[in-house]
Amino acid sequence: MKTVGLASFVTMLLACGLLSASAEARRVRTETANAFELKRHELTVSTGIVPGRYSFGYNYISPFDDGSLAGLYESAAYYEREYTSGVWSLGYTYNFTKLLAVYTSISYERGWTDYCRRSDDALAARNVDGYLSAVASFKVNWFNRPMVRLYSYAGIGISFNHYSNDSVGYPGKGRKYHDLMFAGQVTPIGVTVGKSIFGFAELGLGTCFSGIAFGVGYRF
Amino acid sequence: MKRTAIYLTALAIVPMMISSCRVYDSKEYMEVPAYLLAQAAYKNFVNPLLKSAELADFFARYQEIRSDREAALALADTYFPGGWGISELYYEMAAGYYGDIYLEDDGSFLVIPTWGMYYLSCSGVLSCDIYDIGFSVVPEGDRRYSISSVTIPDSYGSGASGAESVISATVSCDDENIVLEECLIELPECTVTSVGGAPVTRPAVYNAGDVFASSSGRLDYECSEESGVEDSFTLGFHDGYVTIERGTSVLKCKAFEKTRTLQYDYVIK
Repeated sequence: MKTVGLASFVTMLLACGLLSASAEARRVRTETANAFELKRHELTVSTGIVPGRYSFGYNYISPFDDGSLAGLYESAAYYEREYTSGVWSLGYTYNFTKLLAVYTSISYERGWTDYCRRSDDALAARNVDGYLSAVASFKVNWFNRPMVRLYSYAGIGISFNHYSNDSVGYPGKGRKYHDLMFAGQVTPIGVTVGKSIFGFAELGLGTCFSGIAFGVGYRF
Repeated sequence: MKRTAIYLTALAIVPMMISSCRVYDSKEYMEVPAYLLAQAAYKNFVNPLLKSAELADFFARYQEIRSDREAALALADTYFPGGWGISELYYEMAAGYYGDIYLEDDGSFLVIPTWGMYYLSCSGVLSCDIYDIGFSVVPEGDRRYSISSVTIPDSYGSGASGAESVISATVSCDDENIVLEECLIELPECTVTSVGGAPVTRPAVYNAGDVFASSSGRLDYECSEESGVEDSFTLGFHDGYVTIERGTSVLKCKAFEKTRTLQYDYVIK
């Protein structure tokens, strides 16, 4: 009886030990699988809908005298086609820690409007408004998993603006102007999916994009 | 599988980005400057004439019952429905949404439109707003009124001068309509005149609510030499649309709207 009891007790002890060891091994495997591996550098390429400067309105000057009846009648002989190149960005992120990072980007966006004669579709004038922007942002990665990260960032910068407005009948001959302007971007939420190579999408408002941005990146 | 998903995503995104490059194209819209000219003149001068006559018609009928405050307010409700009521109502003065009206010593009325009228172009002036213009309205009996423009002291001290325009009209009111029997509107840009036998008619506010567009009648437009444009045409009002008539050519366009000035897509094909 004593032997059976002792054997049972030892068996129970062994069983408990094995169970705990098994649970411990499972815990270690899970933690390893969920462990986020910090990589310092990220390069990204992205585009946005809608482009930031487009959302605030390009600075076109009509080639017609909109304040006069003669201008009204003259403009009726032409039609307008407005274009935007969209906004295209190159970005670099340096991750100080898992949580904090600095994100810098260079973006380019250009809008133009063609005024064409209705009689023969000939180009009569063109307005151009382009922006090359550099923005530095403070970024917080507030959710980090091996495959998914969520983040927010806000930043300010500067834009180099080039623009020109043609007179009717002189396409491409309009005087060229340059200006420096403030740039800023606030992105409350962004998500990356992937490890070394990842895709990402963001929701934001600013001079880079207002709406959704998406792109691809590489971490190293 | 994953690579296929990536390729499909790229295939969807690229044409979306390319197709979004052209954000506006007005080639498909027919532009009719005569329509825009007529719309601006109607909004800024013809409509204020009709509304001033309506206001004068109310104030004339009010004079007969003004001691009965309850009846006077009930009458005011029929002329100013939908919350845009009379804000002030005295024996010699009333203030409404479309303007203020004063009883003059000779029994005529002076109407000062609430919203400044605008000249159709800004050439040569700092602002297109005309703040110093009003209408002298003389009741002729049987709810018929003769209207002429007057220059009044400009309290804002700015804007274009109404002295550059000459406006005169005869308007009659009945239980259903406001009728612009005759009119002459001489502006720096153009002259608008009534067409005999085709008075401009619009449902009265006490009959059909605050209707903006007129439903019948015709007006002649002629651009002035000063404007630098040579054009003349007849504007026809119809139920739900207007026509631009030059000889046998008739172009059908959308009816004028109060709250939105149509700039594109107004030609009815």
